[in-house]
Amino acid sequence: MKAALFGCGGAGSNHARRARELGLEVVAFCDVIEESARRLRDELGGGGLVTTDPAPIMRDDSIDLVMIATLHDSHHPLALAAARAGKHILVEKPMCLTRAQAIEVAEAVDKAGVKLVVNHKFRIAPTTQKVRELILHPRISHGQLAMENAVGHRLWRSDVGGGLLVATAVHTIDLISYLMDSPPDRVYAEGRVFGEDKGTEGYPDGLVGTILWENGGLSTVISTDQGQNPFVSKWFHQVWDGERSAVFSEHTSRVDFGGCDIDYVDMKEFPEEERRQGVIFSAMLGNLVEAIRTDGDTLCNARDGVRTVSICNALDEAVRTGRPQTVQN
Amino acid sequence: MTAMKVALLGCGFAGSNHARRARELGLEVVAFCDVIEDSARRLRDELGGGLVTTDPATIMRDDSIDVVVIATYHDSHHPLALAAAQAGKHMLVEKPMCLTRARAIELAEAVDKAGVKLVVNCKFRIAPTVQKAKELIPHPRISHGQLAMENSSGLPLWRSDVGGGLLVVTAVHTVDLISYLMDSPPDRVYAEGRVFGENKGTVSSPDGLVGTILWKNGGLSTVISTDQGFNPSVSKWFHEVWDGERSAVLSDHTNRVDFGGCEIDYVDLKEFPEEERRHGVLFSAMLVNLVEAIRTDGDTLCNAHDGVRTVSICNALDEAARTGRPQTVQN
Repeated sequence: MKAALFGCGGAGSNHARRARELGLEVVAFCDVIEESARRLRDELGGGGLVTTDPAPIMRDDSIDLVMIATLHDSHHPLALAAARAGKHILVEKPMCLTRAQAIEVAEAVDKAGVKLVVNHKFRIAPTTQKVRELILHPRISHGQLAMENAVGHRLWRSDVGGGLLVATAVHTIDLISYLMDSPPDRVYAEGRVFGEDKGTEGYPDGLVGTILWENGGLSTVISTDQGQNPFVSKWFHQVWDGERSAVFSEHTSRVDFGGCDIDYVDMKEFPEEERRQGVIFSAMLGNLVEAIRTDGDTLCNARDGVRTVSICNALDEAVRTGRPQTVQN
Repeated sequence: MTAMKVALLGCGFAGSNHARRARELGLEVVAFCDVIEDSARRLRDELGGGLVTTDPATIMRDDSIDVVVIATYHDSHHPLALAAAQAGKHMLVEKPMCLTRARAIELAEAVDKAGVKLVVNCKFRIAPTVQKAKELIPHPRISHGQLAMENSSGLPLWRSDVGGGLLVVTAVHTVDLISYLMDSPPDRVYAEGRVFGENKGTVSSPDGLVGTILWKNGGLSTVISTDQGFNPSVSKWFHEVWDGERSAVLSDHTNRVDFGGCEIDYVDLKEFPEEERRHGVLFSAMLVNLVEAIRTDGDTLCNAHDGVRTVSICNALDEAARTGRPQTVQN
């Protein structure tokens, strides 16, 4: 399989390396900064096209798969063009910044019959998969992103990155959505800009919300850069089903169970190779390749992406209006 | 100094603890009242003397009694505390102070008018872990509090007609602690609630409730109140606060706190000397606080107005869950 990379920063570099490990041929490197594309191409050493223009890649019928790891606001046009060009896609989170954009991508993907995976890597973690196995129908959950001050990160400005919720905490929303295994029904949120130096956009750096799911499940969510605590780590998630419970910590690499036959899963105790495959940043690329080879579904397809983005948008809207929002499905 | 005289209303588990602690503090426990006379007698006999009665009026009329400890069923906290205030007695009231905001306000007014001291036994406030969090993080911006416990079906206190429901009866501790840590009147709350249990009785209040609280000072909180499972890594009670730089996570039933961005990493009561640990965590620590407030004419750590605030938030969360609309909390 031949792959092309859009966006040759930290995320893109990881995907390109993983692609090589998986036996894919990375034949093109595209970045708005040509030097970034060239540096990565040279570093990987296998050659390939260096370009600042996505169009030649879209036109090249020999390319089977694209990896989109650009700034968030360009995920939508690139994914849409790739789908229309009949290419399979790994797209970094968030799939798109808005529900409307996400639906457009999902429809194009369906029409073209290509595979898409959103790099919501927490889904594929062995900890998460064990929770899915032991706690099939959670009733209540809590998810939070609580990290160090994010001043200066332009991805977290709402015009470029979408704001902290859809740019970063989208991982939490996606994981909670995956675990609750239901379309959302109604959300509510309160948000505030605490930082004095977060730019003119004034996107909430503190957001707290609730999600009511169509299956009756209930969740609380927090998205903030107001501090990181080692006990819970940057990412923290909990689920309860009436008898069993699971608490994720250490960036989702550990889960502690209550009411289950096992007490915990900690990836620190995994054999090195297995741990590496499980936790690496680009694990979802393996999932995409598998889906292409077997004509199966990916672990976070375009419809999953639509759901997650829709919830983020609705939480933001609740903050803006002070009113609970019914989420369309 | 003559020993303060104490009467106990409600001789169950909580009441027994308070009575024993009162004795340790050098107070004289002179009366034991319970709707089940035998419960009162059994505790009196264990502790060695005093009146046994099923009638609170006898106690309220006795001017020699300085302090009453109210540890009855939740729906009787209000009439008993009101009568005690009107009789000029100081009091420790078990949580929740009252089941409704209206009753709590009535009680607070009676306490103010009588000039007596009241402490609500929202005991987490006095825990050394919480006091350290207050010291290091005086102005949190965001917080999360949760009660997540084993299935509680069959316990009458959690039925809304007798006890007020899981939120105001038990998770009230979480709402109170978050309120204490955020150090602000509430502004607006929202909640979703659901009855998951099939066997929770006919008068069901939600056994799963998730909510948000916006505070007047701009702080934000999420809260969870549920009996849908216990997890050892977070324990029954779990609370987090962040202030922009520092953070604190309270686990192990509030016996441990882990800090982020602070000069110390954690406080764990397991590492305290035995005696200090015992005083820090024991159930009746707030009784000491009440006695101190009486002796120094100071304020208690959870006074009647604190109680009003906490009950008001619980009522507003329940109302939001009922109506599906955000509720402005009156202060």
